[in-house]
Amino acid sequence: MKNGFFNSKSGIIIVFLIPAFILIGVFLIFPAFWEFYLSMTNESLMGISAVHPQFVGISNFIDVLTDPSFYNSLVVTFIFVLESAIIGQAGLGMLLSLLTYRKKIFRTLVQVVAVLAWIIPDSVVAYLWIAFLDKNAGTFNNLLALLGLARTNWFYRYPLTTIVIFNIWRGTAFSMLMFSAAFDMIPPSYLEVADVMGVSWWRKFKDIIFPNLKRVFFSDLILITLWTFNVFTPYLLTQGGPGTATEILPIYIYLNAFQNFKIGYGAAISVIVLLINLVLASVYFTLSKEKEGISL
Amino acid sequence: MAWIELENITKNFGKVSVIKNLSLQIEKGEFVSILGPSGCGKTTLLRLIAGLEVADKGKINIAGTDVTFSPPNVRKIAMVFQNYALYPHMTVFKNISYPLFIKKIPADEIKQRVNTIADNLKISPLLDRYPQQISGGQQQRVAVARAMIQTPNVFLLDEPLSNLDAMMRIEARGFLKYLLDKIGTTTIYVTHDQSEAMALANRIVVMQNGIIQQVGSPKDIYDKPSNIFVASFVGNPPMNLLQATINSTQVKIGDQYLDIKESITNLRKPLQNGKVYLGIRPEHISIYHEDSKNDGPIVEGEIFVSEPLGFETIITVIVSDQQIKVIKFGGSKNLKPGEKIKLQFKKNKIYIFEFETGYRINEIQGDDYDDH
Repeated sequence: MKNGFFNSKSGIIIVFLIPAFILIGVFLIFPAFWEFYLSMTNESLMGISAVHPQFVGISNFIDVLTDPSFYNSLVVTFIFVLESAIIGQAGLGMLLSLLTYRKKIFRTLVQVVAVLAWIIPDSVVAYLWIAFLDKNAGTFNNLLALLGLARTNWFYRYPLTTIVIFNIWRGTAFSMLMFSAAFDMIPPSYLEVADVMGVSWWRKFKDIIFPNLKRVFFSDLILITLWTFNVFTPYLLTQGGPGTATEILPIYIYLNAFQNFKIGYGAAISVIVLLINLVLASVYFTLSKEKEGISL
Repeated sequence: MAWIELENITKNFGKVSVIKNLSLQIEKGEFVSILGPSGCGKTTLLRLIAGLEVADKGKINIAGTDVTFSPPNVRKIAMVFQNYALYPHMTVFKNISYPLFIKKIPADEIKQRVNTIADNLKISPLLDRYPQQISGGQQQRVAVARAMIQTPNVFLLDEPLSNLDAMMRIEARGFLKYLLDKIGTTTIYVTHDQSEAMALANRIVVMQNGIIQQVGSPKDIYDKPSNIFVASFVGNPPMNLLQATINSTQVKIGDQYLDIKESITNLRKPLQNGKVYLGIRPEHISIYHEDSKNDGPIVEGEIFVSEPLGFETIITVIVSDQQIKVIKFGGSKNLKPGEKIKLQFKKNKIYIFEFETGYRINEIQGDDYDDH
């Protein structure tokens, strides 16, 4: 027993990792392979192919890549991710955590408000926003009317902008919490030394603050990019419409797989999205590992 | 006009009063150490001079300019922090050159100045490394180099040695003194370690609770402490302070009478009979034998413990329920706990402090501690 498997260091490590591996295997790895398999079939929800799906090779992929509505979704998704996650959530989160740095009460207030937006369930949030933006009875339009401005049907006139703003509101709390925590890790003396030297605020940010929170910054970008890329909540607001104006990829997949019943086709889009996500994540990883100092 | 002038400075953090109506003048080229226990306001005082805090009341002058409300960068100061605050993502070279880089000094000149300073501080081989790749002592030198390269009006050092281990600290202390002597820039050095203050400074400012207790040369602070706080804070082991009662010729410790006529010849104020503290430094007490010469009053006590430290031995003796520490040089044979012992206090080294206020009342003509 002395030198048995359970007594060796690596043995213990493996034993403790098994439950996690089982869960990851059952819920993540297996579905991924299953999805890959599905993408090669004509599996559907109804009809003959629902009972006897047939192997169709890469024809689903060819169909997806030659479908103009796929490219529409791709473009909408990239705009959505860029504006709502990278510029909106990360930018606003950074700004808020900078503005509230070392201002305890102010920071707590802002965080409470931001976190509230983050923790309310999706369906409740969707209902709140629909009620808030309703053309005739919505709070926002009532406010505009009070100011003498025209009532607007935001979901029709500015559909993509609306879900972009919605997603910024919804997700900024996460980035702000990440950045605030990272700021607090920077010793105040780093900035005080800079104050004594007379470093401008922009240089302080660029040379001292940012390099020290770079890893957190890129980790945050990976997470919010992938979350936003795969978020489904806008469906509750716009169902992808009007037309295909807000048909981001998750909605496009859902419509194809579950409304048009083309499971195999939907799986093929999912595999493509998975590959895009992998590429994005590896780009961020590379960026965050890059070593850089000040340039002289 | 002094190089640095602090006039009636008051600083509060919320309801806590940290600096209370403090005035201090520092001449050009002086090395002043601000000494006190943690929470005494010494770091706040340094930060006020740096401009990292703004005083609630009072005036600060540096090099003839009123800087009371000026931001740190116009004060021409350089500061070394306790944690050094070296930027972990910059090499040693970039850390040292950063203040010059910010001032847009040409790259050639930067390179030359960094190399000169690195040579002086013996850190040239480290220039390409990152701060986390060098030792604590080397980090401390890099932080000093980054301060020096700014050619400031005054150096502000906040406990720069306290992050080092004991061995490294003594080495770094010596080097720092050598270096600052050589460049001669006015220096204010905050520390809680009395031995650092004694070893480095021309002048020591002892602080407690936001108030200056005494300002003087290290020797003055040591020989002529103005009150109990200074007496007990400076010296290792610190001065023995014994509760006693006094009349015109004698003090009484417990039930023992000591003749102190010669110690109370020069009084600052008339002596009142009653309670006092009697102070005597451990090195001014000797073990009395029958053949010793009569050099001062004698007390009897019982050895509590003796701690041989190699060259010297610290003996703790209980005299009428109070502990007295004695430094004995040489061997410590025959000093067993529980043994009776007689101690002789050097008669011109006895300090009398008022019981209520803690102020010293007798003058000390102490110029002979060198010939110990």
